[in-house]
Amino acid sequence: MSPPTDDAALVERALSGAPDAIRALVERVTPVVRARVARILLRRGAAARGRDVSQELDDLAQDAFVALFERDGRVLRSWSPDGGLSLANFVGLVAERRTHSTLRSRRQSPWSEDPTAPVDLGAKVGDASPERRLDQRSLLAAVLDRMRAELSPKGLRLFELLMIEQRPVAAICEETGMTSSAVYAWRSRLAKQARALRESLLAEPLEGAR
Amino acid sequence: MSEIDRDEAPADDALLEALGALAREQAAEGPALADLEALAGGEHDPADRAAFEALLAEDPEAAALLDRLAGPAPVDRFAEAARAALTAPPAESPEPAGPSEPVTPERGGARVLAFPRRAVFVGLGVALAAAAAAVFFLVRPAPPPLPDFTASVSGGQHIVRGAGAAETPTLGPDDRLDIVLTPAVPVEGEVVVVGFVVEPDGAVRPWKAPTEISPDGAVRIAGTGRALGLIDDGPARAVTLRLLVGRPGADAPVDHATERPWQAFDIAVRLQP
Repeated sequence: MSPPTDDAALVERALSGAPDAIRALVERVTPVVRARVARILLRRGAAARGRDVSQELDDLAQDAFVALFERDGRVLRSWSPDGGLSLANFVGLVAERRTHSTLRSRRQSPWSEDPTAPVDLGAKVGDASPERRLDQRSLLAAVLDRMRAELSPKGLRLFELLMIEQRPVAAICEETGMTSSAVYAWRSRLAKQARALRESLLAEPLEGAR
Repeated sequence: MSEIDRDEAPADDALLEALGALAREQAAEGPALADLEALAGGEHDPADRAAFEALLAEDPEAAALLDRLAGPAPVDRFAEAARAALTAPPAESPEPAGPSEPVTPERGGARVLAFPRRAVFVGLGVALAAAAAAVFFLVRPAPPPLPDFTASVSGGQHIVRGAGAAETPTLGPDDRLDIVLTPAVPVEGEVVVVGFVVEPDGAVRPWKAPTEISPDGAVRIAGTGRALGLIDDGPARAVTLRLLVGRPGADAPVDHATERPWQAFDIAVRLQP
């Protein structure tokens, strides 16, 4: 992996419009972008993929590059080597977000694929019937999909660090350069966003819900 | 499906924890991202699928996707799309919509609307999501949504050959191609047409076609292969002509399937230089 200063210089040159820099940047991160898109497509399973999946992979990867560079590179300009995310990781998150957004906007069911084990959401629903737990599992997965589509790369990374990797706050502060107050504020923001998305999904008509 | 009661809504923290748990489960279910990145980066022997055995056992169709991932990436195409997106003026930078059903050519003459004699070209240096393309439009008042358009394609006797509408027409330098995009109802306001040529390998290049737009918003692109700028030094090959019809100033469509400031038409043509 190239040093952050090299990446920063490359990004700056690419955003200035230098074709060779754009190509070099694209070439560097193409494996990350394609891998992230592939993982999402694989996760959706064969039945949910629909279109020619091989074509889909590179169409969605191309879309991710558009997301980075459109509007005068607004999204790519938001990356900083000091922001706690490597360029590859940042680009990967953008690719995931755009892919989730694109696939969701095709008006697929807002509910996810087949649920597996039910997830206990807390004491209030701990004694729910199996059917109710399966419904909640689908709802959870739909909320997760929405968050992936709507969070900024920074928000996604903080969600990963806090809730998926479950890193201690001190470790997150060290990696991201954020204060502990800022990390806690993000956690609160993520929680509120998750709740808002859940409410929004509950209010939507259930097309093809299971 | 049973209803989910709002009364049983989990506390915010519990919901966030549950989302994290679900994300961990999902990550554990599929192939490791590191393995996918290694495959995409050419670090894996493409024939070595050991890391994906569990996936392929459950989902044999995933093999096609893995093959594609392991194959050469269209970096040039991505770079061109990135460059075009960077340099596009925000209000007029449409992403190419998903392809519509291919338009099969009609045999004989298609219905052609009356057009003004002169063709009006206004070029803007608009760079689009997939490739830079030239935009041709007439200055008109600002816009309600466009009605649905239908496309018809016809050509002279040199183009339409054989039997059956399924045959791809062949276009040589002197062969004529006539494309008409007709709105369901007369259009008020500006209409913009953007053209691409999609090559067999998926590369997309701009297509600056001489375009006529009638007062009712009907679009006509007509001329010989040479006049249309389609014949080059390359080999004979089948390409797709992609035309997008929309309003100037339309936001880049996020939802290609349902939010349609742009309507897409794909026309399969075999170029014969």
